[in-house]
Amino acid sequence: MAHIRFENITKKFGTKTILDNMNLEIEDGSFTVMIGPSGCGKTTLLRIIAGIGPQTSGKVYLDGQDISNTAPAKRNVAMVFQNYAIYPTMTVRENIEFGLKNNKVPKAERDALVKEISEIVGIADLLDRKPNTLSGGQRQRIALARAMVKKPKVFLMDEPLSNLDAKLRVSMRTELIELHKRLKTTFVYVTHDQTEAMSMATNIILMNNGEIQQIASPREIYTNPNNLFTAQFIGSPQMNTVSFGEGKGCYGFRPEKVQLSATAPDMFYTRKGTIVTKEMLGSETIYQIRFDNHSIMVKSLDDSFSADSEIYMGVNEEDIHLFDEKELRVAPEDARYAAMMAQL
Amino acid sequence: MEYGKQTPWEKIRPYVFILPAMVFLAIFVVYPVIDLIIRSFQEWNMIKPPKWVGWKNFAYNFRKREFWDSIKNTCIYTVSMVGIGLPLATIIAVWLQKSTRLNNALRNVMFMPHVIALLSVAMVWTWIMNKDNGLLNIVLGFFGLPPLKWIDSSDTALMSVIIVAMWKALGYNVMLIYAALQNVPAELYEAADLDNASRTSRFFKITLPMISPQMFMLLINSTIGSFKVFETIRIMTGGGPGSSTQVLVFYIYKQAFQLNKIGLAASAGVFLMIIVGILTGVYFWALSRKVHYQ
Amino acid sequence: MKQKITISSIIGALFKIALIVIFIFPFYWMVITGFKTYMETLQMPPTLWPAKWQWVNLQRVWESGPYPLYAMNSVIVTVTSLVLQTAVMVPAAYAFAKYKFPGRGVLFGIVMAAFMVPGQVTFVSVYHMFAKAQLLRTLWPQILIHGVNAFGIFLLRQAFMQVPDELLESARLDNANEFQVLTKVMLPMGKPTLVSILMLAFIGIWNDYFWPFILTTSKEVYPLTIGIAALRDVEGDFAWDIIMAGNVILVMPIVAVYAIFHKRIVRAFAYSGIK
Repeated sequence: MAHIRFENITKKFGTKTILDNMNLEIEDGSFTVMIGPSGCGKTTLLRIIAGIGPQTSGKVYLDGQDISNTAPAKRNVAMVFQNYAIYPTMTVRENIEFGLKNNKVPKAERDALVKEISEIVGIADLLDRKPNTLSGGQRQRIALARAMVKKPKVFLMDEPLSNLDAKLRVSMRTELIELHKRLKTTFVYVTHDQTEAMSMATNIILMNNGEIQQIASPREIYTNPNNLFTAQFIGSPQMNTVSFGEGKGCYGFRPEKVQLSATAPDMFYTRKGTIVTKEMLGSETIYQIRFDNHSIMVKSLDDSFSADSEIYMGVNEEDIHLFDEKELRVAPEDARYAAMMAQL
Repeated sequence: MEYGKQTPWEKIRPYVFILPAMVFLAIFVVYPVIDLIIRSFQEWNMIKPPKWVGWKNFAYNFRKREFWDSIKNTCIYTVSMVGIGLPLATIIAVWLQKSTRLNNALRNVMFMPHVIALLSVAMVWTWIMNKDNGLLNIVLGFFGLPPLKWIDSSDTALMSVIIVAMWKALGYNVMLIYAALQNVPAELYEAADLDNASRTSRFFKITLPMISPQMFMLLINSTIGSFKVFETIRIMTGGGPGSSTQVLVFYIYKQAFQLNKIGLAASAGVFLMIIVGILTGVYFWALSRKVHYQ
Repeated sequence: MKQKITISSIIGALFKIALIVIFIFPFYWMVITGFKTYMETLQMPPTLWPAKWQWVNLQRVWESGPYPLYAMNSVIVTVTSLVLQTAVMVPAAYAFAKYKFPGRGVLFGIVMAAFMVPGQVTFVSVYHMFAKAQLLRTLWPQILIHGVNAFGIFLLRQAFMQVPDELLESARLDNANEFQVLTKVMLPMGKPTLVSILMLAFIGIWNDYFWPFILTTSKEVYPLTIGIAALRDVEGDFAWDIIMAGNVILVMPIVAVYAIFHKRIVRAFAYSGIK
């Protein structure tokens, strides 16, 4: 059981306010990913949970218990740092059992735990090595083992995969998902990589400038973005947006929702444009298309269209997203919806 | 740069570039060392021609009480500078680790004696430690304590010199250790916080191993630096009272420049060189495995 | 969590202030003693501010012996040593950093070993060498002994090694000769390190007491340090007003340099100790 609640959390660095009066809940047993551009406050939030970068004011609750002023070691949380923060002067075993030793866990129990965990993460044969002889992937596993061995209520991870190469990153992603299923504890994971967020999270918290933009499942956040920022942050290439004019809001559609054809299609929204560039990525092709002074991206499985040729685009009604002048989503239930759709 | 074909000039060019440095080293380091070794086996008073006497100079030194006194004083001085000075500097550096205004000011102020001439430092302390109207005795009197004779008594002279030397060296050592501390990544301490590490455990398991390369260098430098102590002694006490502050280099100086016994001076110099060499070797042998290199 | 004001933090701050006093007061004491009259230096309890600033003390130091000459000697020795050191150090550091040649390891090892052999071991031989060459009545011994700065070569080599080889190669492709490569490419890149080295060397040579003490036999070649030390013999071991005034003169250039460049100097010292 580990449910985290923030109550009126404010964090300042000097005179700069990073988080202002934030309220937030993280569900027990969830794999919550906090994502956002750099400087959005996601790591700050993680450090507040860990207690290593305490809040300026406000309260943090873990399972209903106020831990605002509890020492990091007494919070029952473990953290995997971006650079792993492995103690370079200790062997792998010493790294893993450092916390246990400090907590006066008896040797027999310690050895059993180290053995168990190191087998789970697959570093059992590295226990007597020094970290500087190990690869990035191996260090990552040590950092994980060091966190796991404490059997914490919450795992905190600060961009743990960002220092790995692309291939390893993909396989570690799968491993983390499996680990979460197996441990059934709360994971709070910080990243700026939306692929990581979409693939691993049960719950995404999207942040920008110290404010929460949306909290939802990956699917929900992709299909029903709350606002323009969310719509554009999630998805690659980002959502195309076309303005209704100064101060009148805009509409948008995702590049993969556009159908291309040589003749005018019978769809809700159609436009004719010219292909400016074409990028063949293998399974799919990205076209940049220009129409009426707008430039949009289209992701298509069809690579038969060539650059500089004229083309028709079509989008279904349900794939059009509307945003008002405050960049907030105008949902189909909204009174303004029909009038705005009529402008298309 | 290494290429298939080199012109003769390209081949000798590196040697031409390092030639001046090597010539200077040959004249002022290599030659004097060799000369010193040769002289240590000779009897020479700068008037009569030198005479080969074998190990006699060494034997003579070893029989002399004054020589052993100077060794003893040098050792006391070195052990204090290394054994008290370095731990003290480490404690202060850790204590002042945070970059606050007061800490920065204190570190800069403590460092100042290092850039001031040893001569001036020694002189002003001689004045402060003056037994009649020196500042220290006035301060002692203010607290109702009896005055000390400081450098004028053989009981306290060596201690007084050591206090001054430590006062001069402390800030430099603090600054070096502080700089090393800055290079320890902050996450390690955060991880240690999460690992419930106590203050002592943080220091001995993380801080000290992380700064061990710099500490090792500092240890070697302060040991060598202590063994070659001379100027402070020469200015403050002249080796006295009696032979209470006589150190090895002072002994060498006295034999060579006051008594014109070059052979004795040279053999003591060779002895000093050997001690420093052995100590450095012992340090490497005993500690290099414990030093952590990135 | 804000920094809380606790009893222990107050005690800590008091300790720090006490330390500041311990480290500043001797210098303060030196300065005010140097500007008191002789009678005032004996006064009990001592005054913490001279009754009247005796600027004349500086003049008395200046006139109690050939002090202008000593100062001149110090300046000549320091400046010439620094120029010589630079001329010797720069090409050597360049060669050790950027050329491969047979014997490089051994020769560099000699440079490193040199800085482990203190002058306090070899000074007897060095003295006799200069005596034999009949140079003791000139400034040359004091200058030449500082001719090679082994530690400086080591540091500058480190800095030169950071310069990418591609930069040198492109300069050579642009038809630069080796002298131009050294002065136009390497030196500008190594300049911060070189400045640091020379600043440390300046402080070291200006303050040096040991080598002039060994290598000078006549007054006309005394540098300021030896001259100031001699004030005790000239003016008497009790004339602390004059002796301290002399030290104020000696210390002034260094204090001025430290006041202006203290950040840089501290960094240079700290850096040189780390690497």
